[in-house]
Amino acid sequence: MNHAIITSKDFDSSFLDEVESRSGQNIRSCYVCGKCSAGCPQAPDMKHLPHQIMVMVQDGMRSRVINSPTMWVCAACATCTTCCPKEIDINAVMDTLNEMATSAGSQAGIRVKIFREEFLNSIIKHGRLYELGLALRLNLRKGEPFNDADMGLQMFKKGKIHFKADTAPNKNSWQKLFKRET
Amino acid sequence: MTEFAYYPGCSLRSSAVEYDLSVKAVFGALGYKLHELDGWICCGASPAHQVDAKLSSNLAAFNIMLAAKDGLDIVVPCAACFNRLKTGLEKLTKDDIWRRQVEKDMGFEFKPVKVLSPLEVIAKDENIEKLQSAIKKTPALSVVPYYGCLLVRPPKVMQFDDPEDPVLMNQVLEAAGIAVLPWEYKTECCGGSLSFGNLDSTMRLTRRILNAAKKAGAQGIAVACPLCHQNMDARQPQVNKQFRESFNIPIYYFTELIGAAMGIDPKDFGADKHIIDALKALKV
Repeated sequence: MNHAIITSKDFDSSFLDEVESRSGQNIRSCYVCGKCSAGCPQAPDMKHLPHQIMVMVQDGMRSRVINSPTMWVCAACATCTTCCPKEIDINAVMDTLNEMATSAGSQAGIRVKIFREEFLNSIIKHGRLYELGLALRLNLRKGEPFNDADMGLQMFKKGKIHFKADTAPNKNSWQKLFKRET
Repeated sequence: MTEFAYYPGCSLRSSAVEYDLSVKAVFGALGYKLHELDGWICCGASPAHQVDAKLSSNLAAFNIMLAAKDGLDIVVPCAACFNRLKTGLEKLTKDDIWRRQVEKDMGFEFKPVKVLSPLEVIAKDENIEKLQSAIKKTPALSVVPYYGCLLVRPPKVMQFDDPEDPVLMNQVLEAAGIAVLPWEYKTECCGGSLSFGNLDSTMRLTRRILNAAKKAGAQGIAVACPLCHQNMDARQPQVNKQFRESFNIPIYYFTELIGAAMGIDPKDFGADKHIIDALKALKV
């Protein structure tokens, strides 16, 4: 963990309430046993482990948590939720922190941000994921035109790549689901 | 019930076509009718629930309401879609205020329907019996059963088998006469949601699973999720290259194995479309 100097500016007393309210989880009840981090498959790739994120949320360290790369590396596998002895849905807390980090424009997970954006763009347009379109747009945006070309070629040879996007019928009925609440 | 609504989800149309075809083949052989949900839309998978919880719930609710209109329980093969729809169903059942809003938007009342994995349907006692008597030629290969994350976690929502040591896939494969080996990686994450943003993580996680299967002496891995399949099958060459391994382990949707045991030609459910050769090991 970063041993930067911590000042009073790092603490925001409203942060814990906000995260608890949005996630619906009793984060105060976490007693930092570390089981979540012990079970987390992504722990080797995390700067802040799940239990450390929980402590930082409890302490109101808004900026540090929001800008943490942890949420962008989270596999959403819910192992943490499953083993928490206080029955906190830590995966739900990660989801909330992902939402907050995304709205705050965090730059801590650009590749994942691009993936999520393009996935959602695809389903906003078609109501269903256009896999080929997603793969091509991701490569374009990341400036990696040949990324996964090996795998793509294999799948193409096996007829597992559809060139035509599959659009869900009755667009009027589902398009409004994607309207942003302002 | 002998009829179900069928929610294929986005990947069963193309990259996971073998799962689609083998589920349909096995369900047909067991006497069920599957009606594809008319007008289904994407469940949002991980991207939706990670950036917009409301959107994720609304996508699930939309699909559940379509099935509720016809009063049919929904069979959902993809583990991610299954997880999202089941999560949405729990919310529809418990959040009265939101449910009323959904009913208002859709224009009709919500009548409870079940969201089911094909695994739990096939694992029902009567189907296990049908399976046992329908076996024509069991492939002589041993597999390890890989359940992954989203079928069983979080346990409070999924209430599916045991979250740490599930057995339903073991039971259905054994009923089909397939040798199932023990191992400790039944529910270890493969990095399904990470492959387009954190590929290194996926490589590490997937390699661990392939290695564990190899150590267990398995000739194949049985799976129940399109993303798990893609990571372990389509990306197996990438894992081999990155870690200088020489894995050559076919990855089967559990329904492909059951279908083969029932005497269905594996090519009929696309077993020739795998990246790692899956036909050789199925020879009886």
